[in-house]
Amino acid sequence: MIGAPSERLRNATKGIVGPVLVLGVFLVVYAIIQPAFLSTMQITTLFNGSTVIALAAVGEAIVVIAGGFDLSVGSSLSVINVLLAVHMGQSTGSQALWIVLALAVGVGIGLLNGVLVAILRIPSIVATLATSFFWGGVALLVLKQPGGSVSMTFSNWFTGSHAGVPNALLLLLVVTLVWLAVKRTRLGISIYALGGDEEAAVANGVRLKPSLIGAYCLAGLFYGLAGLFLTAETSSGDPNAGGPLLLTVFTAVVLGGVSLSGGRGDAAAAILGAFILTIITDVLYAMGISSFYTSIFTGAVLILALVANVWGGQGARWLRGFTGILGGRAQDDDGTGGLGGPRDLPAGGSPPAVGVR
Amino acid sequence: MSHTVNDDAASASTTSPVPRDSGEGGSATHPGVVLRRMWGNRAIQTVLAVYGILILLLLLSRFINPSYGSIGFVRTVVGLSTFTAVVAFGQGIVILTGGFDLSIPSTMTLSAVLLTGMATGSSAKTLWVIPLMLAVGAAIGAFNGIGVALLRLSPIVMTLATNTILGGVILLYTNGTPAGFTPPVIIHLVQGRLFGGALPEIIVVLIGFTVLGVLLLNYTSFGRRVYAVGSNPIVARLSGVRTGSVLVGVYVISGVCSAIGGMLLSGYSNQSYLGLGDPYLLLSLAAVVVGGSSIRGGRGYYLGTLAGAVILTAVSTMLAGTNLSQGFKQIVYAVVIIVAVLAVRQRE
Repeated sequence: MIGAPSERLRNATKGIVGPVLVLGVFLVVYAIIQPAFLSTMQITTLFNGSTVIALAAVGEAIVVIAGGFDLSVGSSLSVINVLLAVHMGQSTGSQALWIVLALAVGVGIGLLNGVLVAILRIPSIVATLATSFFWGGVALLVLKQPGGSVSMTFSNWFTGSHAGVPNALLLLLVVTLVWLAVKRTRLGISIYALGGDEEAAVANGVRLKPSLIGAYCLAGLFYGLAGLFLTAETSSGDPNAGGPLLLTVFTAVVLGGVSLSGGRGDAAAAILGAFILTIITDVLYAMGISSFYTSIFTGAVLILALVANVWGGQGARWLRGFTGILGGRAQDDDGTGGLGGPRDLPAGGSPPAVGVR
Repeated sequence: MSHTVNDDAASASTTSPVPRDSGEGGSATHPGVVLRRMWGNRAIQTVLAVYGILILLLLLSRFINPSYGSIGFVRTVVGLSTFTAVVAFGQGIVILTGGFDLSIPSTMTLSAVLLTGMATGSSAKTLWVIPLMLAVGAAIGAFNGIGVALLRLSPIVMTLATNTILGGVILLYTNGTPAGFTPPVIIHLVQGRLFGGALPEIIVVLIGFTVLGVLLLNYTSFGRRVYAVGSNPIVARLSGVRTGSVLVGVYVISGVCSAIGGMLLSGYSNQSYLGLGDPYLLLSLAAVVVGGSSIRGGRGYYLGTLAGAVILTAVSTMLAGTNLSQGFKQIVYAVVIIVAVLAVRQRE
């Protein structure tokens, strides 16, 4: 879609507008009730609190865009967390080595998922359910109960800040750039095509197996980063550190505007979803509301985000048709496919998304 | 919308080359014809394969430990599998329509904490508390169903959101620590034995539940509509099935099953605790899949799911009796699920 600059801008911002608006509203509310939030210290805390979910959600979003679900994200983080807490030494060399190893383990985890889904053709939800048991078991083998530790230097690499800029922000910027670059490669295009309509994609020359495996490996790479950050943040190991994060990661993906029927959305927008979640928690805390309400509020926001995802497109299309400016393009707008209905499942059902990316 | 219709029709023609499983019950009368037709039905072959795996598993288990595979062992395993089997019925009927119910864990925990909190160990109070819990489960299911059917939200996320919200409700009700004890009548139902200890009461519960479940799914018009919606929602709607009410119906059933499962589980542990239902999200999904149902909907039998639940419980019971570390147990468990899924997989 090389067109007028305004159209290119529209394409670039497509799907991001909603999450950005929601995040903006919450940020303003937060700044009003808690002006101290604007201090460097608070901003670093906000980033450190959101980054694990943000990184994991980017990975999960890639799998979702490719038309699958990855339930193994939690135990993937756990495995990487305990490996680092048990084996990483105090020397810079050992720490650098283990950063690379953690990313490699992440890719390996993705590779196993990818092989099960793409080559053995096991539905992703089942395959990743099994691998989540598997890696949970491996995590317990490495470390039976919470313990281990990592050095402060290592923690600071991730959770510190330079001249008021949180390192986490830099990391997330790099991740966003990496994703935006991948999105333009053959792999990125294949991921979107497979998630949009697998049969049509294959008929149009997308190589199913390498592309799906690639999607899971890429997701694993980001789980590796999330595991590194998790370890830096907690500076200890816990074989069940990632388990409770699964639902939160999915919430972040949906809040980021990624369609669960695959093929639509932007993985980097899941970062925004993670921040929305953290800010909701912080705002409620600042207002003195019991933390018991947090999950009720989060769930309600999730449902509202879904309703907006599914039904928002209808309003937007109506408006566009009404003004007649972009009427011709209304068909492949975001709103068409979040159908949600009973067939809205992994690897199927969504209308073909043609020629956009 | 037209391309959506084509799309669905295309996927239906590729995913269901076999004649529809539903509605075959009444037409054939000659027993030989019925038998031959059953034998030729791939879905029934799958269920038989699941039972084959179960029997093989029990036979092989004798090599691990001579006490495994005995009548007593089978009795324990079948009794323990009730919790999974009950909630997997709900998960299974939702999956038949092409959805998922991820709100099972919190619904189970909520019904358990409400039960112990309200009945406070009194059997007399169960007269109104148990019906109330079933109603709570049904209401949760209706909430899910309305989101999925009316608002057309993705089932996986709708039920995920419900699960998250209920998590908060549980914390609010219990204030972090569940109170009270399970009423003796429920404890007796779960832990008691009939015929001088030969037959655990929970197995009677399981058999009764299974009979009801099979009747509902395969011998009522509601059951036929569930399969129809799962095979192809568009065709179902065009043939006059009110898909919306069927969808709400299956989520309500799943909610009620979760409430039953939660109450039974509190009878097993004599009290309720936070996170009581948590393992059952993955267990219910695994039981349905190992039981040979298609995860994409439209195909599957509860008898398969039941065998799936027993297989999973048998494996975890056997593993519990070994000296393997918890980590190894979990790894073996994962491998068993993958192997079972590959073994019973229907050629799609």
